[in-house]
Amino acid sequence: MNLDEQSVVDALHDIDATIPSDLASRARAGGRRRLIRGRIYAAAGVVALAAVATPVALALTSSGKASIEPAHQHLYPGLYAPPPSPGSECNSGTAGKTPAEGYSDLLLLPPAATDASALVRAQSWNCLPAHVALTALKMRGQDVAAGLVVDGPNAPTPEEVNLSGPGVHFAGQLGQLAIRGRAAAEYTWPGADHTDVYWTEADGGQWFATVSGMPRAQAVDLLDRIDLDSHAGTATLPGAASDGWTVEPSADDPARTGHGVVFANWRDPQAHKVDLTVMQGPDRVSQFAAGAPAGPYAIAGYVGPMKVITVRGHRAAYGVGRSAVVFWQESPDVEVLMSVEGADETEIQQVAESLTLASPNDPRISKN
Amino acid sequence: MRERGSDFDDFVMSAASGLLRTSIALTGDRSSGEDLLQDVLERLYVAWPRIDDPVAYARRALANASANRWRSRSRRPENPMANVPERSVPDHSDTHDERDRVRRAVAALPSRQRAVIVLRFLDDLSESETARTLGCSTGTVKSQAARALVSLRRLVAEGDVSLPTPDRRSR
Repeated sequence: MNLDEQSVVDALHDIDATIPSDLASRARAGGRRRLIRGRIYAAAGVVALAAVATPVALALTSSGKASIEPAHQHLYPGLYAPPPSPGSECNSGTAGKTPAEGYSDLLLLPPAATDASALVRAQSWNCLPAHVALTALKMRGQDVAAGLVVDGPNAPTPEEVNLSGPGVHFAGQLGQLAIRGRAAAEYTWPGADHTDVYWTEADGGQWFATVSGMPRAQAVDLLDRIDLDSHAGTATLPGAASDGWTVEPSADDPARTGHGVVFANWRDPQAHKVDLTVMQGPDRVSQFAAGAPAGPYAIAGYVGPMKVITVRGHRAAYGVGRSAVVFWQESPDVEVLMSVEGADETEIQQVAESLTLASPNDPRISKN
Repeated sequence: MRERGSDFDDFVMSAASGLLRTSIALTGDRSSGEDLLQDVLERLYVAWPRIDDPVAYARRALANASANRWRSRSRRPENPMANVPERSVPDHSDTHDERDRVRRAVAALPSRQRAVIVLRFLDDLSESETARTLGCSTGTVKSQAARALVSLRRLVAEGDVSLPTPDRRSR
């Protein structure tokens, strides 16, 4: 055979490319699960509002750049996990029966739903999120009126979370401003109620902040007033109490890189689709509440308002949208994130109340 | 900001066939191609609101992910294309056989050369578009394409195109 270029063209175009009829729905469902998973990793591990970028970063780095690669020196290694080696995935793990036996305290499933499916993973967390220096909420009754989360002193740069760099086209508004006298990059997502700001302090510390629920000018003014301590890893908002802010207790940084995760899906008795993620992690409810209005849920259509409610006797962050989303700390080491499509607050609470621990041998749990 | 939902579904319906063909060409078989495309579409869904050119994004992701997939596999996967028996007697399906042999030869190329061939000859991208997609220079595209064609001619002429192991492919 005399191979010319046209022969190659013809051979490749001859490939049967009939697409499966359910490809779009499968891709959409998978994408939504990635958003959910990415969000809970971020919420559980620290970031809160950095989660705006973090899940996107995970996705992009998996498909484009192989991993998050540091664009700057991490000057405070005690407050920021080392970045993964190039080529590694941020999250990996194994699924099946063995993890199910090892993480039986995470096996929350509805008692009667026969259409439930659950997957248990022993998760390796290769991209630990940044240290959260400050989380503050401004409440109006149960509603979260405004949120502030500050990450640093070794927060990711825009390049590290793939908001900037070769081949990246940010579809929102990118602004330049001055924060505390330092040049800062501001990322605004159309339709999202938040401002994301990245800047580097004179001491080399890299900081990231998100302010939600207030006009841009007020957000900038707020960030101008915070005091940062790179060595302690703290951000302080002077006059927080008089301004109506409630500064949340800081949560511990993740102490381990491996943990269990359970993903489950079913329909409740009212035929609402339920998507559940249960994983090990410290208390990040306040970060989630502060960050969720500005997080990927806004992008995904889960637009606020965010409320702080009680679920199963625990403080929980609850978001209203096309799907209701609720996030609570089931126990000191177990976080739960659940979304129920088309449900209201009462209905999502009913679903939450119905959860009971299942056996590792439960037939609904995937064994592969 | 681009909306998820119907926008995304419309995109998949209109572009998926072409992307699936690209994915199959990159991976070497339909099953792997479908898996890879779904993986990329899921990632595209996540990034959807800030992606200006979803087809370009998907192509880039396919090319990069296919290379990474091969690298990450510890064992050689089953590959139906590699198992297609050679016909000993020429018949009316000669054209089919020849094209099949070419596709197997493409699948046997090193990942970078394979990506260049697929983007240039299947997706009909220019050298500069291919370079942008792969994040390399146009000179690299030219040299990779030239080497790939030499390899393809050799592989097809030898007739016995079997897929090498992932390790060999990634070198």
